[in-house]
Amino acid sequence: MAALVLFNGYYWAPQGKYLCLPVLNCYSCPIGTVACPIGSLTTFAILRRMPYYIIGFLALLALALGRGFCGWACPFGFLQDLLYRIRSPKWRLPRAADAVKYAMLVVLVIGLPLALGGGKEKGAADRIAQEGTRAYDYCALVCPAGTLETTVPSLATKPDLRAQASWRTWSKMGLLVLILGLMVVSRRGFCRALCPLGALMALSSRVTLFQLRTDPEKCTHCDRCIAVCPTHSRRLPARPGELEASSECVMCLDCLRTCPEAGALSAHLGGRTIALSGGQPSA
Amino acid sequence: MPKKRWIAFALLGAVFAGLLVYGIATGDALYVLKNAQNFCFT
Repeated sequence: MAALVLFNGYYWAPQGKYLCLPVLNCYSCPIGTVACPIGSLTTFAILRRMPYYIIGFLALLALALGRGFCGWACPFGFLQDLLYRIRSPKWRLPRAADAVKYAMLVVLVIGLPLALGGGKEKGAADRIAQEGTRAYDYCALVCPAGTLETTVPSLATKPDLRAQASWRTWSKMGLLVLILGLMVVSRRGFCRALCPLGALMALSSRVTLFQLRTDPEKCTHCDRCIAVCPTHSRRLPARPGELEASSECVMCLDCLRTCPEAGALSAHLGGRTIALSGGQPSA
Repeated sequence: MPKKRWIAFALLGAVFAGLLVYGIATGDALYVLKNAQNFCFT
């Protein structure tokens, strides 16, 4: 909730837009505070320019906190948690669905803009200055954050835009409805299956400083942590001390809060224990 | 955390921090800001 306000602050919006924070929050929205890393990456791909700044910035954050941003700071994650509370039949996505977001990242965010954008030689910078990146920004065609935070308010407040709305606008709206439906029936279904930003951050899961560990001597295999995991990624380690680095884990720590055994589960930041299960204070 | 892991982490951190600084020096950060402002509907 705090992140939602922080990333959509009208008064400080212009100052923060050079920051590509790994949260899904549309930068086309006038009150959006930070730049969209996916949109920025796409622009650099269209220009065929290496995004040193974006890679460095995102990789440093990923090294420090991994997908902790997905679990604690992403406004779209918050929306998913809210929508999942609606009473409805619930559905668990198949494991194979996890791969779709990687395809989205490789094909829509990088591959197609890189291949078709044309780069500097074909005047991509001038085209972007004149008409924006719309022609080559394929991810924006399917991005529910963009539709929800920009298209919907624009259509609602500007009748002339409503009159000009094309098939593309209405197909984006249809897709948004489908994705919102997915959020109601599948917990964090968008994070798991469709979010290209989640795919990018998931690459850091084995090297990040923010890690979960299970003490096999204290774990009673009640499996409550597995049942409560929003991304269905929780598994018990095969060997003592093994890292539980699932790329789908958003580090929400629901498992740790649910675990009844004191100290069976622990969260670590850079080797320091920051939280223990069973209501124990951290060391 | 084992010492080897710390060293690997420090090396990776140094590489990424280098990329970040290089990106700022070459104007990437300003371009990100300009791009975000271009996209902003008002």
